[in-house]
Amino acid sequence: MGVNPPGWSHSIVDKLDEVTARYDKFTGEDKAFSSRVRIEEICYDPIFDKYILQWAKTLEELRAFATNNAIDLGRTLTLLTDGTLPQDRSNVFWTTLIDPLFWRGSPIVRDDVTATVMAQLARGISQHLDTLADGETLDVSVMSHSLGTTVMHDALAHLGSEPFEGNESLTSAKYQFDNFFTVANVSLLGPPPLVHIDPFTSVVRPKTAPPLASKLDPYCTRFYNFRHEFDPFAQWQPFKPTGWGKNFIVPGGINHVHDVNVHGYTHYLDHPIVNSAIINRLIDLQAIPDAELKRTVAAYPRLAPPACNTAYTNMLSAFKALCDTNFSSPGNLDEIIANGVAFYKAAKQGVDDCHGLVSSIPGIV
Amino acid sequence: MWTTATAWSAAFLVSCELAGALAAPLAAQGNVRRDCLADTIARLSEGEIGAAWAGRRPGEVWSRLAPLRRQGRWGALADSIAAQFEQAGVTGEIGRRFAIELDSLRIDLGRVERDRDYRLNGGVDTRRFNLSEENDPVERFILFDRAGHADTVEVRDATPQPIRRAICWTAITARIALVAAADSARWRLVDALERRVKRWDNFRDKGYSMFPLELVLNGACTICRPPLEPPRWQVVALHLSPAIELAGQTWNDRARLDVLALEPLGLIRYNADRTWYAGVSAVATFASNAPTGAGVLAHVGQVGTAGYVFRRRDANGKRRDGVLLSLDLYRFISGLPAAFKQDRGAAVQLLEQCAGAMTKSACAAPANP
Repeated sequence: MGVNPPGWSHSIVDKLDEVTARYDKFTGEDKAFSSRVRIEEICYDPIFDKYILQWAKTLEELRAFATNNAIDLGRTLTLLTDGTLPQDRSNVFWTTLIDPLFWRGSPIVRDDVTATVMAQLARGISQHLDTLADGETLDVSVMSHSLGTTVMHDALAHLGSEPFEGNESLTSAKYQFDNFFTVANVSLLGPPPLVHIDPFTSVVRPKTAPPLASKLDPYCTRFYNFRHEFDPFAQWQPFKPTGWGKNFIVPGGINHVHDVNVHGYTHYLDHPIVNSAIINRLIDLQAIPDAELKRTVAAYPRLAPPACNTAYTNMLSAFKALCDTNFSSPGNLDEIIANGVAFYKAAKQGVDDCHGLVSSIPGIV
Repeated sequence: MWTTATAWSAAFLVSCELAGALAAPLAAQGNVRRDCLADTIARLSEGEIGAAWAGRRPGEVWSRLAPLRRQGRWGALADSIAAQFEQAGVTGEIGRRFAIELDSLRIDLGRVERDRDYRLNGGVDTRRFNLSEENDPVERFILFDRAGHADTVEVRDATPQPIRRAICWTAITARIALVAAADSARWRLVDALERRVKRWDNFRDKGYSMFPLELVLNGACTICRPPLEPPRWQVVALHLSPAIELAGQTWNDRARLDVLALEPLGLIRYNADRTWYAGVSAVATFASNAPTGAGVLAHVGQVGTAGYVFRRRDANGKRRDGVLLSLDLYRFISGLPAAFKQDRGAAVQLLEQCAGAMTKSACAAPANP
């Protein structure tokens, strides 16, 4: 959902460089993170765009045709634009909320995206392995956010559990990822019948999770689940497996508001609890010692900027109410989209109440 | 316009390479980290390595094994790695457990050498010698920590250096060997996955467009396509499109009608690469100045759609059936005479120009603007 064209990860990498340089070991370094790891962007947004464009193009032709020929197509157009899809806020819907709807609602779009992500993953791994010098080894971690957590989960689940054309080189029986970082995990979000692959029983689990009935091996060494306390998307149907052992890591205390978009990728990464886990696991397990982390977390302001108390209070109570929403049926897509719009409105209201609040949401400044 | 407020972003892959990952002073590393982190091992000085371990670091061993690798002598390569470990004389339970895994390495790599299908289909278990670093409660490196596998091996600061090195250095070399043995299979997998992506690209770019209802129907049709593949059969249902109908009583009096074509039901079949399709639909046409028509529509890939529509008699008792064409096809066909006329005009102009030309260069086709 949203706009994530090729190159979308630059802002994420910049943020990781910035937060890494905050720690003693990396102070003053410009590319503290990106100079130490190799980053491969996975991009599937153009696929959603093409399906959306196909629809829009067809609808435009239909609308023009109807106008030119004095044929009443009002109901048809209404059906195609609004009737089978959630009501109103068409801009918000078409630009941001359509992707998850496509993902959950259309197996064709979902499989198209999944197939693309699987190929990008396999190519990325193979290319990096080819560039290693003698004596070097490669550990591969995957980091994903929001809809990306679901997309990546499904792509890994397919890649890990099914040989493709008889080839099992990247199945979980032959290969293992190091870390799977999920930021604002929404892999359960949506009506349960439309959750294509059950994330509780897929191979995308840490090695400390109980064995699967299918006898398939776990696909990653560790599984991180970062969930903000006021992020409704991550709270509506939170991913909370039980008994997955010490390598399923859910750090607590992520409740900061430095941007009205508490669901934002970079907003999550800004928190030391989130970024220290990533840095330590990807760069050096001893890069940020416990004492430094405690000190950093203690000094990290929960609300920034601090001078918007009333706005914070109102906005957070709206976010909390959204987090606690009881849906008429589990994962009702119509209600998720309506509440998504409500989240947008609450964020906008926050900025209207106090212009000092930071917003990474285009259109809300 | 709100575009990224909730930013359901795509995922991205971070590959962390041990070698070169961190330029920390060696002195700051604990004993076990100095002997088990690949990048640290690579930076050890000759003095730190010592005479007994000279030339035995993973990078050096792997370089020496290059000829065997190039010749595909994977069995001999495994023997060589195992021999290096045996030379270190690690005994006890750790030695026994490690030796068992080395036996598996020999079996695995021996099969890579002998069995082409095994090699090309990724039969090698590349996880076997993954070294996992943990620091809670103490710094250590763990091997063979797999589901249902109790015989793990741990190396700590307290582990004697010869054992640390024998375990970690051999494990790193073995891991590199396993990954290398799986190279060709992995690239074959990449090729196969990318061919599938190409089929999806073709389907999306060259296939017959789908409305929401059709997306749902075709997605639910499990016999229309193999798992994760684009449809081989596509159901057309309640598909609306503008079209042109050439309607009249006879071929000579046919007039253009702008119609809305509704295909209540149809079926399309794609070729294997999804670059081309053909199919048939029932069709109804609606126009503002003619009775509703009904007929059959044929789909022929990128060429377009064409069909025949029957109409009931109008108020004058005349029946004006029609030939139905998609907009693309109509534009193409109706554009042919003009294009021909334009080409003919250009040719005549060129002939006249050349007839009066004194030199070959003066007789040239007019440049495109």
